[in-house]
Amino acid sequence: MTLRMRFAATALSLVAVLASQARAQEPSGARLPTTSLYNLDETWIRQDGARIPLASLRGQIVVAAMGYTTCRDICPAIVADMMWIDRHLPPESAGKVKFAFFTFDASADTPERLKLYADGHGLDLGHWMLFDADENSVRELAAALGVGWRPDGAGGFNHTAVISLLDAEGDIVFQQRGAEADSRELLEKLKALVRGAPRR
Amino acid sequence: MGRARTRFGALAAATVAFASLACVDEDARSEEMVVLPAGNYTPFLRLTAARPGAPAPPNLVAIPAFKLDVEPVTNADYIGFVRAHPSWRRSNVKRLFADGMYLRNWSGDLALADDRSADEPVTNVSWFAAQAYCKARGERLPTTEQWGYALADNGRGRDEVRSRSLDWFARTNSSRLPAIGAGSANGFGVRDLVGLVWEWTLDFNAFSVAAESRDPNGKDSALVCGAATGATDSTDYPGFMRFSLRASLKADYTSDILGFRCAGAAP
Repeated sequence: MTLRMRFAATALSLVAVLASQARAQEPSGARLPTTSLYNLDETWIRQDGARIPLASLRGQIVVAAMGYTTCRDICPAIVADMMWIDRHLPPESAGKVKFAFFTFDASADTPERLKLYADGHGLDLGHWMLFDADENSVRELAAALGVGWRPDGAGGFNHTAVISLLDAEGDIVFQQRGAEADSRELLEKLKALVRGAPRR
Repeated sequence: MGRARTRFGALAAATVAFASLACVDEDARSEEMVVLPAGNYTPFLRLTAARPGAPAPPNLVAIPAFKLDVEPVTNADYIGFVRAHPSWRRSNVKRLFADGMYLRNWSGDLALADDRSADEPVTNVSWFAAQAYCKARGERLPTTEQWGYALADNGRGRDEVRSRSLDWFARTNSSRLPAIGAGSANGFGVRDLVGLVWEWTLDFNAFSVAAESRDPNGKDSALVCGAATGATDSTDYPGFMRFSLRASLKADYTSDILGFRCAGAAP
């Protein structure tokens, strides 16, 4: 190989490496919207112990909520609402929708406890994920989702009931607030996303 | 001869003025911190029992010693931060982290409105931005309790602080914020907690919990896990004002009267 050819080969391979790295940062090929929740650079631990970057949820439609497993008041209602939505998903949503539960309780809600909670509710861990992370990640996620929360002084948390619908790019397209709220509107918006209706 | 000297003087003055505009003295930052000793504090919000029949939490909170900025963070401080962290510059910031008014009073990504604003508190910064600034210093925003504890100053000058707060609320917004440092420090050595800007706290969204419990259908417990509400001192009108403000905030929100200062662990 002549020197010139070697130089050209090196240059080409360098360009290829840089291009593939650029692609690796933007898996869907398009830039992440600046509004997307996935701009949060957080990693959460799933109930099976796997470390999951928040941004890896990109590409799926996500129904997300925050709570904690020992909550006796509204968290059961939140999870019940999510399960209702799950039961009413249209068949064409298979493989496209994930349900994500993020705990406030960084210390007590270990992956093992989250797994027990999921099993106790009969949640299909093929499309349900329960997560815990450090307090800083909890704080930033709650801030981004607009969830109010604080320790209640008795080992639990006072918090607002919020179920968020995220599109495949991580934009919040709808939020259901309050444990007495009806999930039908969220379900309709979810169905529209599944059908591939244009984003707002 | 006289005219030449005047022209030279004007040119020299203009050069100095331009230089001071262009080169913010980053060594003159207001990042001085003071250590507040451990003490007890009665938060504005009265906590009630988490569940019926459970004991009510005590209304006196023990605050461990901590460090707090003597002054709010200034524009000069903040420009140093965005120089070092380009993702927080106005034209780069992600919309998730700050709304469209972020740093709107600045002339550009790295340009203040004028040299006078260097010593004024930075405003039009979101909670995410304020947190990022503090984290870059190895610190974080103060909790609402820490901030309130600093203001309460162990009860020193309570009525005076309250009346200054009321005066400040009553004042119509002037076109400019005052520079930091004009007021005297309180007993803890902290300045300008009142009279300059409202300030972000770490757990501002703890207060939207009680706010959302004002359910018109009367089902207060439906929105919150556990119950809270009630003020420990119903004559503390500034306390109500601050509480209402915090309850209305979102993390990406910016305002030209909302700034911040940082807190850290006591050495």
